[in-house]
Amino acid sequence: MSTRHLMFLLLCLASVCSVWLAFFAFESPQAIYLVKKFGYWLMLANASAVVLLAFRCYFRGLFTAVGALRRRRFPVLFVLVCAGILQVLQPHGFKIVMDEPVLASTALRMHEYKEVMVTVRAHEINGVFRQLDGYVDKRPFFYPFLVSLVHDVVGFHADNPIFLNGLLSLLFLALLFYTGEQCCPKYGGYLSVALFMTMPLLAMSATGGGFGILNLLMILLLAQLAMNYLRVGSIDSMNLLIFTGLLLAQTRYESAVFVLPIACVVLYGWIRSKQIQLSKLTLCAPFLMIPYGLQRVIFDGSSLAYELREGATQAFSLSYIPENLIHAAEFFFNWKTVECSNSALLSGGFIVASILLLFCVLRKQVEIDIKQPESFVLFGFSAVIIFNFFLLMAYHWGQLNDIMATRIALPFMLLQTLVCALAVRALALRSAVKNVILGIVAVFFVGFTLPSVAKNDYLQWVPGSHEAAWVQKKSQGYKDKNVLFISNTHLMSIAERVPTIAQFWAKRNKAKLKFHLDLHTYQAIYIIHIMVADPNSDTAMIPATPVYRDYELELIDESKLGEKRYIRMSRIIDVRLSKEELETLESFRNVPETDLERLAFIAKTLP
Amino acid sequence: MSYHQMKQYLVSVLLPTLSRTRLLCSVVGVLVLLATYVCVPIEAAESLVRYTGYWFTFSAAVCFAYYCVCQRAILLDKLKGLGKKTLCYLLGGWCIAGLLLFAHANFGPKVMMDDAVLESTARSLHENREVYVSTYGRAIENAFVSFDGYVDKRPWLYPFVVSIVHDITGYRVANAYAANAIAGVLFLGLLLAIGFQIARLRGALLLILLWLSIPLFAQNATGSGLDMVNLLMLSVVCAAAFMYLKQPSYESEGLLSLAGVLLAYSRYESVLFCICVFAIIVVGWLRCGRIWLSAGYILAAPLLIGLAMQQKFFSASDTLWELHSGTVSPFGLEHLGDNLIRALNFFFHTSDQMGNSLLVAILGFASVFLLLFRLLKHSGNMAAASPTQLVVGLMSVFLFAHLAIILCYHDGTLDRLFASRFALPFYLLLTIQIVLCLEQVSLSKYQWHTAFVLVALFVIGVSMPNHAKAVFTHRNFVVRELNWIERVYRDEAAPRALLVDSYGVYWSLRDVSALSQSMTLLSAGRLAQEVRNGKFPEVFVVDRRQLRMDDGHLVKEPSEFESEFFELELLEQSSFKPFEMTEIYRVTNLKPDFAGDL
Repeated sequence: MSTRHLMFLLLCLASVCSVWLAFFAFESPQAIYLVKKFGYWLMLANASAVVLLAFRCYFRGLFTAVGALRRRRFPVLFVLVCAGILQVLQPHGFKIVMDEPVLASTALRMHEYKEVMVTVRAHEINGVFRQLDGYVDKRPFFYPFLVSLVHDVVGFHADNPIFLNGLLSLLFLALLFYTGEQCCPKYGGYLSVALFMTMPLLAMSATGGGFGILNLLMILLLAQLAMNYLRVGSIDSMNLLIFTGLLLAQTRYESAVFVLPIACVVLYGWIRSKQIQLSKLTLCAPFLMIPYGLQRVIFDGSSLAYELREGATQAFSLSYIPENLIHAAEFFFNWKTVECSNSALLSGGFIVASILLLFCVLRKQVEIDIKQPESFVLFGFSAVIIFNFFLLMAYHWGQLNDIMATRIALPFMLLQTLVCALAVRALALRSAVKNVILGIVAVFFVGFTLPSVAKNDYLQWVPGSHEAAWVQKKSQGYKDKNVLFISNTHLMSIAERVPTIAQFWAKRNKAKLKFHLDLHTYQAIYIIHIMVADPNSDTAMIPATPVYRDYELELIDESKLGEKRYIRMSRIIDVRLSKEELETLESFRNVPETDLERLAFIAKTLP
Repeated sequence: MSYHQMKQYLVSVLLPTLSRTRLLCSVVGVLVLLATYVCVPIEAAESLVRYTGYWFTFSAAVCFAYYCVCQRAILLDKLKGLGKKTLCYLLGGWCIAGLLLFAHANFGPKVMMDDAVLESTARSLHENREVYVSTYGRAIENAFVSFDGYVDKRPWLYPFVVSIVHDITGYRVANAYAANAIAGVLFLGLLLAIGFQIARLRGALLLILLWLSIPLFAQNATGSGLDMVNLLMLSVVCAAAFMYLKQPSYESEGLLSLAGVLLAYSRYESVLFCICVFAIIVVGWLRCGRIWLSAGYILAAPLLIGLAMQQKFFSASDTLWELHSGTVSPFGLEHLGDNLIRALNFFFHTSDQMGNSLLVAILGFASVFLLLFRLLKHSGNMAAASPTQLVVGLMSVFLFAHLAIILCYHDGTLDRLFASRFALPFYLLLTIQIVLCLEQVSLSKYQWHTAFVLVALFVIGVSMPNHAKAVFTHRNFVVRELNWIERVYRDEAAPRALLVDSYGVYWSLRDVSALSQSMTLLSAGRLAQEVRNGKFPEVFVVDRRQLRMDDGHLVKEPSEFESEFFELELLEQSSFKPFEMTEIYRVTNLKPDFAGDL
């Protein structure tokens, strides 16, 4: 048996082992432990491998590329200006409060403890901010990993996720320009970037703390690496493709499907070179996917993981597709400048471009050679993006006109952009016509996109969004002031690195809360709660959770969230205890003697 | 070389190069130093330090700067000889290391009493050119004037540096942190030079990476203690010694001598390195066959007079040693055993509670043993040792001796929050030994790669999280407590109000009149009269009381601050230490008498 065959066998064995370890070897509690403790290190190994391989593959070409950039000042300026515009179109901050604070909390945990975990309870113990309880989240953690690296390098700042997205959006636009130029030389770069800029969703993602932009960037990067591998055919470029693909798989849930086109590209590369190319590094690759599988084990073990909405019995079903397609059409072809963050020009252009492309192919005006690296990769990646789009349509929460789901379709909109660029090339239009198209895009940007982003943050109707923003603002105001926050949106405080616990947890530990209130462990304990209309009265407002029954409160600040809906921040003056809770308080009477023991006692009795 | 050959060499080669005038000056300098130490009475020594101390360090610094300028041509030649690419790597490494050093910066005092005392000395040096710590001051007209204080035991190079920053930019408490931050960055630069000297580019980069793995370094570079400047001067001496042994001259000898003098003024035990500097100078004479006796060398002994005077009154005072209860002598072998165990506990600590670097300890101790083993094996070749090996060898011996002295000190418990910083010079020994060991001992083809990967992983996986949490910094409750008191005082008190608190030096630095509780109670009647006469607009009292659990309720122990002259109104209270409450009161019955029109 030759070395190559042996390596291939080992790769198969490694793949089988990884699949077994990832999906079948561990129960949910063990999987939680493994992901929490080792997830960060596997990610670090994966990212290090990518950096090392990129250095080996591209270091020599780096200086040539910098020289080429110097010669192409106008495109560089164009991309920089577009990236700058993106940053001013929308306010900076968390956009989707269900996801982004969770990612920020995970990043903070990874930064301080190198654990993949979402912290939900944090205290200041002897002046030190300590992250205590938490859970392993379902979300892939490549983006939190990158944020944690930014924290490592520049120190913790709550804005680091947003800063990172700003940087990533610049890289994405640069890569989009490059890919657009490949689709349609000279002109495609400008068209792709300009077309994508007309969609407010891009600005929204670029100024938020989510992983949408990173996902887009990784898709384009992977496509470029795949083309490069098919052209160069070296083992290093193949490994770089594989390891970058593994990072993409850890960027968004559905991006794991991109493993399939990568496998196809690698196989096709082997066929082209008529040999199986493998290295020791390649054999390690399957093991790096283990955390992904373990997260699925944890995910499947949790009944709440799919966040099924009222009435939904299944997370995925073909029966959702027709209705979701109607919602998608409403979103894609919305011409109003309120609510939807779409670009009708992009979607309309995509339909027209697709028809014209089909027409050109049928009339053999354009020849598609699937054996060419560019075509092979484009087909493979487009197939996955379309598959993912229909997967979204089959998801119970796949209504694109709901802002919570819209961003999932970003890769599909990227495809729309590139198809438009391809169509312009296929039609072999004259320069004047191309300039008219660019003019139309510019007019649309000024006439539709700018008014739309000026009057919208697209979150007006998102439940909890204003509440979360208010809690975040209050947390920022009390940062480093030795206060404890109690709220239902406590992750916003965690993201600001402010001690906090959830309201239900505080209620469950009232005796401890009373003990530390009397001990003045914190200079103040604040509870943030919601006031809603009293169903038994026309005018009265009552707390959404019975806080006045449990605590004696002093009102500090309040704000109106909506019709008969207020948010309040109150300082806890006293805690009302039941008989059992008083007994618990009694049990704290044996105070230790030494400072060290006392400190441990304080830590143990914190709510 | 045999004894006779050595004698022959000394008589026939070295002594003829000796200038009699220079020799006479050197001997006179040493005699003046000894005479002042023996003859000057203790009281006079204190005054001498107070009024002339500044000028000793000033003279040493000016002479040192002069020699630096003299050596600039050699330095520039060396930089040019590095090549563009190497220079880019070194500069890049320096910038990144500087960025990472301050990425998690938490600028502020780290050891409260030491830092405040040094800052106060710096202020006094800036305003009066006196080595003096103010403990109580009061606003007279519009100027804050010091009325009470003392001459401190601490060597004053760091306060001197801070006073220069004050001179240039104006007085600010934050200048103390700026001085240490600059010292930290310069230290990184010198580490690059030392590492490059030992093992070229890879040695330089590994050395700074190793230092980034030590959270204690960043903690001191963002504080206001004297250890950062001490570390900087150690590296300056090391670099000057390399220069001297490579190219002995009047200038390089003078530079090294004055670097040694400045180092002696940077920490108590650093005077030990004067012997090291002398040994290196003598080795230089022997190797080049010439005794130089530069002006810097001649001036070194008289410039140490300030330090000798300080040592004289310091050793005569029991209170300045701050002996713990039960401790009889400040130094002694009886402390060694316990302190050694605690030092090992510090160096090999695994949790985030301390600012140590486990990796540096493991690699460093292993390197020391490997190099010792190698030295014993090849002891015959010692005469042929390179300047680098000689400097590293001699410095290592003295750094080791330095640690031994620390461990014989009654307060040399390295695993204590306030004593950990004493370990910084020993970390210099460990890190240099690691680089030297990798350069000299060939264990594997990939040993440098492995070392870089290992240290980088350790920095990312262990040091950075520890930096981020900074448990070893935030554990200091006094800093938090004083910040809180200052905030309440600034918010609530009338300008120039009297504060009753024990941290007089800290408040004096911030132009706040503060008296201790005991002093206030002793002179309560007089103070009450003075407030009525308008000396202070009002009085604030800080009281610290223990808490205990009684029948399911927390109860405060009775206050010790009770006087018929004061009626107290509680303003705010908070707890910074477990089961201890800090309270701030306003005295309500004392106000200046404001009469109507006459």
